[in-house]
Amino acid sequence: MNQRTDPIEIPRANEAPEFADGFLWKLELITILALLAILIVGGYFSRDIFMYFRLIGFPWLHASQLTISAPYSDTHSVSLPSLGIGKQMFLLAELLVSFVICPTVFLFGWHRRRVNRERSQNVRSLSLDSVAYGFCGIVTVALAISVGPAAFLQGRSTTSRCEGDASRIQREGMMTEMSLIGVDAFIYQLRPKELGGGDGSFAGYGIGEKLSRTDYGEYTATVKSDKTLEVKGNSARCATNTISVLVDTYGGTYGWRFEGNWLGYG
Amino acid sequence: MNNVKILPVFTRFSWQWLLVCFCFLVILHLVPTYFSIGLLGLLYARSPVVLAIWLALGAALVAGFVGYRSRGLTIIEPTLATLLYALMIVMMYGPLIGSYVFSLHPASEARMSLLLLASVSALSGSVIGELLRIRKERRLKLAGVGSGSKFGS
Repeated sequence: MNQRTDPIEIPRANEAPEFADGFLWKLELITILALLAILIVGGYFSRDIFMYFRLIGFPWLHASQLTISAPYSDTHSVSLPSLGIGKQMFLLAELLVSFVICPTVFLFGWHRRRVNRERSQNVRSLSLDSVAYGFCGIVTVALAISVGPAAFLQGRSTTSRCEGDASRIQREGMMTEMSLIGVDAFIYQLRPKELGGGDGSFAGYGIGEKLSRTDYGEYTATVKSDKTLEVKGNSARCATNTISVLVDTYGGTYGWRFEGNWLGYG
Repeated sequence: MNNVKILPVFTRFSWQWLLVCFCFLVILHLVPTYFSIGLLGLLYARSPVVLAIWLALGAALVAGFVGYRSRGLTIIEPTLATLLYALMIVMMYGPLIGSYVFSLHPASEARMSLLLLASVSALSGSVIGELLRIRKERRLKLAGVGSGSKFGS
């Protein structure tokens, strides 16, 4: 008879205990404590669910967002979320557990297990050591897997926010410069022709060299009538973004038009 | 030649493993989620599909480990423990999220699907774990490394 077809004999004698001493009640205690901690933390953050998810879910992303947002807070374009000392301590504790304690325990535990496996082939009873090792391993591996995509998404979000800020600054810069052009045109039409002015008309007006091309954009002026001048600006950052405005004989600007992607301003 | 003794197909129901599997699901699935990949992506997205994948994958892995590590056939215990665990998840996070998965709307049949999926996934995981264990024992037996089995030699 071929030995490969033999059924398995399962020896019942000299079995090691399935669970280590006190394993069950310790495991139950830890589980109850973990559930209580989850519920308490959930209650603590219940007034700010979004903050709760950010802190619980991605504490490292939250910390990085605070770092990135800090310079913008001076311009009031970004409001920094305020964190109490309790939430800060919670954030710090979670970062320590996730990034320091768990990888350390997992890697050292892995090494120790490899050494022990070479010494003994026997499978040991389930103990809390194994559970702690498994917990740290899962946290470490899950973090390693999720760091890349999450950081990528965070990067995209930050980039789009920076682009938004840049567009806002760009837009306001261009509007300021076009208003200046309006004032310049107003002064031109006030001057008599003998002094190189328009003598009550915008006819013959040209934007000065320094104003026609700046860091914010390029500007052109078109005389619509004696009393109306149209100033058009192309964004230096994004060619499809344009602004146009009409200038009256008092130098006032009206009829602002925004074309392209101005974050809904147009 | 060895005497023939077949592993009993149905073993006594073990409350201990039911408890251990539930505790494992909390400690090795729920808590690590808090610390690593985050509930933000899972729950704030309010996507039942993402939640179902998270639950099914975790249940299958934990149940597979229990099936592999336990003595005898341990299939019903992980399945029941996972059902209880999925129920707990639904009850815990339902009010917090307000997703329709947890609401009483008729569309919340997704909630029942979630429980069913988790249980089936745990069942599959534990069966695979058992098969792996039996395969390993057979391999060790054939190799003559009796002491390698978790049952000793």
